Order: sequence, then C-alpha cells, then structure tokens
Amino acid sequence: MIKAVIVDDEQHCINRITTLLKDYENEVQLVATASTVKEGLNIIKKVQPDLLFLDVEIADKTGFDLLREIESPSFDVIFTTAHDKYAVMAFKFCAIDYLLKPVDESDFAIAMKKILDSDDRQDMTRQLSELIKGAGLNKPRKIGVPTLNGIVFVLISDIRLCRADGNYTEIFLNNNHKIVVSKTLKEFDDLLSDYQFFRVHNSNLVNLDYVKSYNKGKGGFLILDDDTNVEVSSRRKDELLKKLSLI
Amino acid sequence: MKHLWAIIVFLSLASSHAMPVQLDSLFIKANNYRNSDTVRATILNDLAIELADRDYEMGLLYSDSSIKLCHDINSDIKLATAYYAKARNLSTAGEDSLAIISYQKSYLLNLKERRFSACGTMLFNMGISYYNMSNYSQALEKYEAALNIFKKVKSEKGIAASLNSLGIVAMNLSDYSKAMEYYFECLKMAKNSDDSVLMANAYSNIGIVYKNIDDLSKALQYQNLALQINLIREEPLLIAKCYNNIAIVYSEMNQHNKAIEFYQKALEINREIKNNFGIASNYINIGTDLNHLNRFSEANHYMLLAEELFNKIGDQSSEAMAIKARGELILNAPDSVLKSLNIPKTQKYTVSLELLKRASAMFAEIGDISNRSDICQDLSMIYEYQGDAKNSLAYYKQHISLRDSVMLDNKKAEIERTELKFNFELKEKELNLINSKIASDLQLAEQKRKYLMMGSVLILLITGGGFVSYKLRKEAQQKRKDAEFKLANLNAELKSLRLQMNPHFMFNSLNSIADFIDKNESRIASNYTVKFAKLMRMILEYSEQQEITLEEELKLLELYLSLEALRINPNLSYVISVSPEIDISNILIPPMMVQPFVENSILHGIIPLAKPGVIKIDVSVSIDELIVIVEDNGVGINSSMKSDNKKSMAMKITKDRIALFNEQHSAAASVNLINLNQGTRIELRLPVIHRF
Repeated sequence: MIKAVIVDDEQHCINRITTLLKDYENEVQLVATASTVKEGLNIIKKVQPDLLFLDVEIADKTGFDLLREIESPSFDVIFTTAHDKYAVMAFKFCAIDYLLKPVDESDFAIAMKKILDSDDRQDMTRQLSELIKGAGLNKPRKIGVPTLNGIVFVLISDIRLCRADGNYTEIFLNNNHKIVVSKTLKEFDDLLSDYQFFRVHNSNLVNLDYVKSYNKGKGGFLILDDDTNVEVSSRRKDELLKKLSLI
Repeated sequence: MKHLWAIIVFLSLASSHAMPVQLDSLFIKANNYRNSDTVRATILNDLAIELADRDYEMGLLYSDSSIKLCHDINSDIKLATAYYAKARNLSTAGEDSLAIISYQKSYLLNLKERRFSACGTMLFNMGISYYNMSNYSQALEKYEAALNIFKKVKSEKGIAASLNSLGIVAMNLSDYSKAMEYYFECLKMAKNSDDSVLMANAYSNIGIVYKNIDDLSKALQYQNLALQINLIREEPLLIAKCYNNIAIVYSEMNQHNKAIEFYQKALEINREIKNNFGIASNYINIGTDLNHLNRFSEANHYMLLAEELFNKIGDQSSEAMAIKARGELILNAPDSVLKSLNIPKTQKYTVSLELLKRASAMFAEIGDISNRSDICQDLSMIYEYQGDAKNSLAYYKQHISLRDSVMLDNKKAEIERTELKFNFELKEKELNLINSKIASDLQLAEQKRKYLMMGSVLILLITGGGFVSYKLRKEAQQKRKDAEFKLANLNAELKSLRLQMNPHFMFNSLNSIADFIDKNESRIASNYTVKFAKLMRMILEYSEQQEITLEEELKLLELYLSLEALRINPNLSYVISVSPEIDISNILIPPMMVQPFVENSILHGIIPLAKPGVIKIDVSVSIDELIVIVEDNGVGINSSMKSDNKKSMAMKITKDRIALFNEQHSAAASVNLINLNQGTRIELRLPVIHRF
C-alpha cells in the first residue's frame, strides 16, 4: 500500500485529489493532508509518505521551499499548479510530472500509472535535487532526458544537435555521445529555443554555438565544428541568417 | 523672469482630401445634396475638416453623421476620411486621446485600402496628439513610423514635416544634437526642392536650438536667415515671429535695448494683422526687458497692457505671469517710481501682496507649482518686512514644499528624458552595428573570393552573389526594415482582434457550463469544467502567437467540439477528417481562424434544428491552397437568419482578420458560404504556409 500526503493551501484542491484517489483505493492510502509548508513538513517527517501531491504556490511560500527543507526525499512527488509558467518550465527541464488544475481525470490516471509502475525512486531523488537547484534561476543549465536507463541530466551547452527520428529524438553531445529519447523534437524545440538553439529544419534543432559555417543553397546546410552537415529548410533560411548575424 | 514664447513652428499636414473650399459653399452643398452616397460623404467630410479649426462642435456633428453614412453605404475609403475629420475636430477640442483612437481607425482603413500616404498622415497626426499629451516616447514612435512611410511613398512634404516634428520632440527632450540633426536634414531637403517656407522654418528652428545651447551668435545668425526669407515672401505673421525670436536672443545677450527695438517691430506687425496673442506676448516681453533696464514705470505700463489682453483672449497662465511680474516690480521699485505710479509708500507692500496673491490663486488653479513656489517666497519676504513672523514662516514653509515638488517633477522629467535618450542611442547603435556588420561581411566576401576560387563559400548574411554593392545592401536592409515595420503593425492589430475574441468565446463557454450545471449531473459537470480549463489554457497560449500549427488548431477544435457535444448531448456529433497527405504539424495558420465558423454552425445550424445534427470538418490541400470546410446539416442560413438577425461578433472579427492576413501575406484568403439543401457549408481557403 502506497502512503500518500497532499499539501495544498486550498481545500477544494485537496478535495479534488481526494476524489480522484478514490479510484485507487486498493493501491493508495491517503494518510494526511496539510495546508501550509510548516504543517506539511511535520506530517512528512511523521508519516514518511511514499507519494506527495505538492502544490507549487502555498500561501506565501512554494513547494520548492518545502522540498529544500528535506535532506534527501525518499518519496515520489506529483506537483500540481494552476497557472505558473515558470514552475511548469522548471518541471519540464527536470522531466518531472505535474498536473494542471483543475486536474483532469485522464491526466491523473497517466501520472498515477507511472508511479504505480516504477519501483525505482533513484531518478526522482536526482530530479528533485536538480529542480531545487534550478528553481529561482532564470535559465536552468541542465536538462533531464528520460532514456531507457532512467533520467539522464546533460548540460545544455554540451548539446550539439537534436535530430528527429519519428517520435524519438536523437541528442548529439559534444563528447561524441548520442542519446535516444522517446520525446518529439518539438518538445525540445519548445524548451531550448530560449537558448542558442534554432530549429533549422523539421528534423534538426541546432545549437548555434557549434556552427562553424553555412553553405548556401536552396536552404543550404550548416557545418558544425565536428564537420557534421545539418540540412536547413529553405523556409527557415532567412530567420537563421538573422539569428546567426546576432551572435 | 523667463521670456514667454520661444516659438516652434509645427508644419501642418493636411490629408489629401482637405481641399481648401469655401465653408459657405460647402454648407449650401450639404443642404442641397441629400442622396445617401459617396458624394454626400465627401461633402460632409470636407465640411467637417474645414470646421476643425473653426467650430469643432459642429465639425464633430458633421463627421459623426458622415461616419454613419459611410457605414450605411459601405464605403471604407470615405469612412477613413470621416474618421480623420473626426480626429481633427477632437484634437482641436483638446480630446487628444480620443483623437488618437479615430486616427488609428482611419489608419487601419487606409492600410486596408493600401493608401499608404494617407496612413503616413494618420501616423503623423497621432504623433501630434501624443505630443500635445506630452507623451514624447509615443510621439517619437509615431513620427518615426510616419517618416518611414513617407520615405517609402516618396512624399517630400511628409518627410519634411516628420523630420521637423522629430526635431521638436528631440528639443523637448533636451536632446539638442539629435534635434539639430533632424533640422539639418530638413534644411537639406528644403534646399534640394527649393522650398522656401520649409527652409525658413528649418533656419528658425536651428536658431532656437542654438539659443538653447547658449551659442547666441549662431542663434542670431540663423534667425536672421529665416527673417530674410520671410521678408522676401512677405509673410507678416512669420516675420513677426522672427522679430520676436531675434529679440529673445538679444535679451539673452543682455542687449535689452536692442531686444526692445525688435519686439517693437514685431508688435507693429502683430497690431496690423490683429494677432492678439502675439501682441500680448510682445507686451510682456518688452515689459521684462524694460524691467532689466530699471525703467520700472514703463515696464509696469506694458505689463498692465499684457495683463488686460491676455485676460481678453483667455490665456490665464500668461495673465498670471503678467500680474506676478507687476507684483514683483512694485515690491522692488524705488520710491520715486512708486510715486509716479501713484502708490503711496506705505501701501507698497499691500499692493504687491494683493497682486501676488491674485497671481498665486491663478497659478494654483492651473497647477503651475513652479510659479507658486516663487510667489510664496516673495510673500514670505513681504511678511518679514512687515514684521509678521508667523505668516512669513508659513509662506516660507509652503515655498520650500512647493520647491521640493518642483524639483521632484524636474527629476522625474529628467529621468524620463535620460531613459528616452538612452533608447534613442541604443537604436542608433543597433543600426550602426548592422551596417558595419554588412560592411565587414562584404570585406570578408571579397577576401574569400580571392582565396577560394570555387566550391562552397560561406558568408554570413550574404544570400545573393558577391557583387552586391554596399549601397544596394543598405537599401535592401532599409526595405526589409520597412516591411518588418509594417508587419509589426499588422501583428499588433491581429493581437488586439484576438483579444476581442477571447472574452466573447469565454463567456459563451461559461454560459454553456451554467446551462450544463442546471441539468444537475455533477460527474459530467466536473469533466466539462476540466475540459473547459484546458481549452482556456490553449486559447491563452495561442493568443500570444501569430501563427500556430494546423495540428494545434485542430486539437483546439476537437476540444471545443467535444465540449459542445457534451452540452448539446445527444444532438451534436462531429467528424474531423484530414487528407492523409497533409503534414498537419508543418502547416501554419493564424490561431482560432476556424473556430468561429464551427461555433456559428452549432449556434445557428444545429441548435435550432432541435434534433441530432452532424458537423463535418474537412481539411485538404489543393495546389497551394489549404481548404477547410465546415459543413453542418442544420436548419440552414436562411431560416436561421430569420429567427436570429444579430450579426456574429466572432464572424465579423474573423473577416477582418482574413483581410489583414491577406495584407500581410499578399494572399487571397477567402471565405465562402454555401447554402445546402439541408444545412450550410463554409469554405475557408488560406494559402499553405509551411513551417519548415
């Protein structure tokens, strides 16, 4: 039986999760709820939960504040938030699941399935520590990518190129390693376009810092510093040149 | 005391429609010609524009009735002019923020009709209105935009007027080097086109800049140049202004006799042409210089004249200045002067006190803190002489507190000025950077071409051959900038249109929820709410974007339809089909383009049907057109129109959006409504825009 705790400063949000948990009566037992960070910390210490539903904004504090107080969390966390763009970004960078309020039944089911299926909490500990480190920073330096062997954190500046391969994405690092991730290129595009990354083609997302030169052509192609050729779509050419000129 | 009236000449820019027609004959025409057509609209517009400088209340009446007429007869061109006329009248009425809205409407309509030079005029006039509101940053922006357009359509008058106005704003921001730059460019243009009015204007303004930077001999030189031209052109009003400007410079040089001499010349002309404001200004300026020469009783005489005249023309601020000047004069005047003014020695303070308090009350009314602060200091001094310590202290305190807030105001203005200046410089730097980048890229190109005979040549930014000259590149750069500017404008409009759409859509959906909750099914109600929240999130996100992928639009439609299906259960079912060859993640479309049509089909097709209906959405591509068909088997447009005459807001906005979209992409997007035997079909055709 999984012991669960909900920390949220709004009662109706606690009610909603409680209702949704009724479908999991046989696997999950809701042992306590809390509406402040302080109360939450006490409860967590006391009941040692396996699963924590944690709101991002708790009165004048945040769920991150709560996690900072716990040395090495030994539980899974599912974050809930209403509309916090920054928190959502932070979750995405750490590949942490989150639920948007009001919580959708099917989204909840997907999150719960992950919790019930996994028997390894190693990843979560690492993810949470990266999350806490990154929270408050403008731009995370690392990105967590889920692989077959669990979540791998890579330095964003180490990524040369992301290439689409159907619903998978190949990530090429500057130590000549390649990681295959079961996420679409679009998801990486959304996260990395604030960095020096540019989607030059439907299937290529390039870190412009590694561009050595550009060869003209209809769309042309970029040559990276390790002499990889990257095709550029003709429709992206103008914008690419504009971006390159700003560097 | 500072001199009044360092004039700055605004070049006026009339819209091309404003023909100088006799007002009377226009009234007669308007009375005789009663047909509701564009001829009458033209007459009403001309009339309203003519009235703008004479009787804005009447002008507003005429422009409003023209706007109504133009709507009725569906003439966008005349409507554009009607809004322009309304704006002009609003501006004279001092309602500049309302004027800006009307100018903006006219601008949009003109843009739609591709009448760019009129667009420039509207932007220019918006600039004037922002200037009047002391909103200098917006004024700068509008003038620059106007300048851009005028350059594009090669309107010399427009370019000159914009440069001139930019100079005036820069001067107001104490950015004299920038102001000088604009004026000199203006001067250059004037010389090239041999436009003497413009030349005189530029000379005069350059003179004012020199005065402000304390280069008085240069200031004098330029004012004289302006004067010479105006003398040749025999423009009395402008000649008087030049004399006045020259006098001000002499006064600054402490050559008060010379100054008075020139004021007298200005005065003579102003009296001839009955320019009351000019006369009164001359009076007060002469009085000030006489005061400097210790010719107190004469000074007092001129101040009195100024006070009376300003009172007559209703310029309260200047009137108060004249009163204050008299109060101070009497306070400082020697006994002999008092005697000549028939003021007993013992009454000196009482008279002075009375005048200063009157002036102070007037300044308080118009919110002139700086002058009130000065007067409080004077009053404190008078009470001290009279041995009234209590009042003296009270006024001193007031003086200090007023002075502090003046300083705070100045500080704020200074900060704003510095910020603006900084932005100005930043822009300039960016431009220089781009230019030097082009230059260095070109150099690089030359070098590379020397060393690499064939094969792949990398040159950033150069997409054409290597033979492009620097100048051509620069022109191309400018062209691209112009295009980008226009695009930015259109995007802003699209965004505002979308913002109008969102609340409309949101309330409709909320209404659906309320309607649903009434049916009292809690489980589905909560499911519904969660879906609605998801939809809201999508709309919020997409509203920020100029284009979204077809995939995203379809997802939004699917969500929207699933919500409506829940609500109208079981009367609504839907099918969304996409031709298999289309890569929906690689086609872009303006957000929420299809949704209003689907909404219409539900509201006016399916719901009145009162039995199960189907909505089919079909997406296909033919050659380079994306075709989205929304088809319902509802009651059909004719019968639903009978029962519901209201125009759909969303449809109207969507049509506007399509028009703007066409402008932006030089496209021919269209919407066709087809009546079916049973139901309605909407065909939306958009150009295919690929993302990659």
